[in-house]
Amino acid sequence: MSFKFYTLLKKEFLQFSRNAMLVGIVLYGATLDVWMAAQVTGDLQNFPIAIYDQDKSQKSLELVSKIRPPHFIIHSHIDCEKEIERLILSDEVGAVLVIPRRFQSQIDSQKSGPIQVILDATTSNTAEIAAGYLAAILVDYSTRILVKEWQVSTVSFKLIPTATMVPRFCFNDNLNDRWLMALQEFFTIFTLIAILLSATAMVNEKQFGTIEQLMVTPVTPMEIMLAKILPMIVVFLLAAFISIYTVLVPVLEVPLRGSALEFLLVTTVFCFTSSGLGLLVSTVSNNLSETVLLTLLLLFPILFLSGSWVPPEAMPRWLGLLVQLSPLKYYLDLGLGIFLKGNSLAFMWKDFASLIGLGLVIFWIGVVRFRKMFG
Amino acid sequence: MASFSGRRMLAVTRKETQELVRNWLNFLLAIVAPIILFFLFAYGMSFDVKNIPMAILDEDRSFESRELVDTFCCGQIFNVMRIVTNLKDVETLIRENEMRLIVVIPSGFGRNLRKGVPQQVLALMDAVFPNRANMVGGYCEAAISDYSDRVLGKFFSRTFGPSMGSGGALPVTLSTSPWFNPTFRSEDFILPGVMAIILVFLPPTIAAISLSKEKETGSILNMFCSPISKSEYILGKAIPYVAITYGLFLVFLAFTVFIFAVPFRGSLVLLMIVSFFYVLTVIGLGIFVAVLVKTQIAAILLTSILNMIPTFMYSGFMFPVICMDASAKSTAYMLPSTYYISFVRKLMLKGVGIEYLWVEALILAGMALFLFTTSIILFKKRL
Repeated sequence: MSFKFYTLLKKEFLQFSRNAMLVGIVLYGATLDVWMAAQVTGDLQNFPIAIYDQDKSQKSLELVSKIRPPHFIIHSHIDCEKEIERLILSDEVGAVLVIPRRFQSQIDSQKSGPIQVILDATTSNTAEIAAGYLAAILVDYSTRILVKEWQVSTVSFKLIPTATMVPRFCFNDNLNDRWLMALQEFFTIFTLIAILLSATAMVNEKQFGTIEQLMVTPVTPMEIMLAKILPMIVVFLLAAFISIYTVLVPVLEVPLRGSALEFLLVTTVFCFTSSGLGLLVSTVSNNLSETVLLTLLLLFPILFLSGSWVPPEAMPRWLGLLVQLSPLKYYLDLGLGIFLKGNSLAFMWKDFASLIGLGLVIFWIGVVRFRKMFG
Repeated sequence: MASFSGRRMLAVTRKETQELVRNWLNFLLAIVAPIILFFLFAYGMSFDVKNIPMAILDEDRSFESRELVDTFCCGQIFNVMRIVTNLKDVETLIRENEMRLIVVIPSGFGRNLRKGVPQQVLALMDAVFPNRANMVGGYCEAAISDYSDRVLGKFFSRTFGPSMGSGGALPVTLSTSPWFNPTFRSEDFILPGVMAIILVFLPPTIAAISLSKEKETGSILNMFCSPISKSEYILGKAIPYVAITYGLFLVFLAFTVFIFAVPFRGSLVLLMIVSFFYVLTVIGLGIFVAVLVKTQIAAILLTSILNMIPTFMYSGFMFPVICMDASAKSTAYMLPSTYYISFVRKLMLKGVGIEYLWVEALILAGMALFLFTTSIILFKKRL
């Protein structure tokens, strides 16, 4: 490393470390932010439901007792039709279960009958899941009645040719979605911070005119850009390390099945690529307002194409091809592969090679544009 | 202190507008970026599952197993890419991200079914994305039970004659009445949220940058030595951003109703009024942050990164607030977007009137008032 570059690097390290806000936001992103993202789950929890039991019999009480936490919370028992409307319109409950008047006598006389559930379907997905859980509870209840009270023998059921599915959920048997939430947020926030910080650092030099001073020093544009990026990568690695060993593994209990060292290596390459994107943004924009808008315009397509919102196979074909251009796609596949699947880098060499290749291309374009502007 | 002068306030507004419009790239981005993001979010958040890449391990290779394979091959949901014969091969396929689902049909499947012995079909799923795995499992189960019903139907008609269908009904069945959204369309749920999220995400950042830029570059000194008062300056500066943001709201509303066909059942006037409160709140948020911090980068980081996760996860945009636990709820109730999303969903989808909406409306108005008043009080007109 030449002395010139060393001096420049020293300046960048000093500048970055003196801005407590920047170091703070990187640490916030790696710890508290990731923790917060894992606190809300898409799994059905605490779904408030009101019961309108018109029968008030032993059978209906038995059925209601099956509606339990963690999936459901019984909000209230109501006894008039008008209450249903009020509770749903004011967003107090997500559903109302109506048990009809002759519920018990119907079961006793061995007749089939429906139970009505009124759902607030404005929360489309959640309401649908809740209906699914309720249906499962009823099937369970029904089967018990069939076997115990209607005396339909279980033996005859065993001789009916049916094919049933036995699910096996690989890498996450309990379908715990907090792991993914935390990791996804980790990947996303690192992308955002890496692009934003490198872009704003360069635009700031442009805005205050200090970039002219840098240009007349005997360092090359390549060295200027590298010196800008290196301190950030060091801080990111530190933050990633802290995040893994203080939040992800001990608190959120995300399994780290692969090698932490390999993950940090991938993170380094990814931060290099994203910072390259940030530098590219800084060659286009002239002030920080533009920088932020351009960064967000870049971030969300990268996020969208990474497959973390919508699986790539569900996208139209032409978008599926663009997916290959999102660096986050490779980071996501590599990161999730290392954490959850326990894959080694050697096993995923194709993704890793693509990430490196993409990073080099982006960085090269950045340098070319930078030379054109100031060279 | 001099009395409030509308003329001085409007002078600031004029200066701010000119500055905004003359920097054409910035102006274009301020309008185009939110619109692009709106479409990305609206299309990107839909929960569709299709073309699931899958493999089938057919250990049986009988007439029955091929029939089951055919059930997966037709339709849009599954994309049967390979039919393999080796189990070790199978797990690697999931490990490599090649397949999301692998169905294993055991040997003896066809023979046993003909004899009347129930059969189990193993379905291996990539559960790295648990919600997707859950859905894939649901579709897979549906496909298998569909096939099973057909086998059962044949069996019954063979044993009991053609009059017997697929067995009797269960004692208790569930009949669902989904109110306001009978087909569980996810657009109806997502779009009001997208509107609120983008409005709280971009405009405050732009407003915050404009004020903190003056502080950082020192051009605010001009204001310090002019006769303008703090309130005239802050309000004058906010007006152009409030106008742009309100314009964006109108555009988003039109997209939501006309392009994404989300039903509009409530009062348009009420929506326009409360949305104005919300726009004031989000711009007030940006101004408030800019008053507190010294540099532009600090303003950016606070309004975008610190704002991001609470808004996305806790505002009810993705997951309903009523299902959250107490600590998540307390975060949710601090966010203006929580009230606005709830307000818009209730008004548009449930079509309720002010009697169910006044709480949200009052809180949003209160937040706007609070943010502007404290900004004016905390803003210092000296070095």
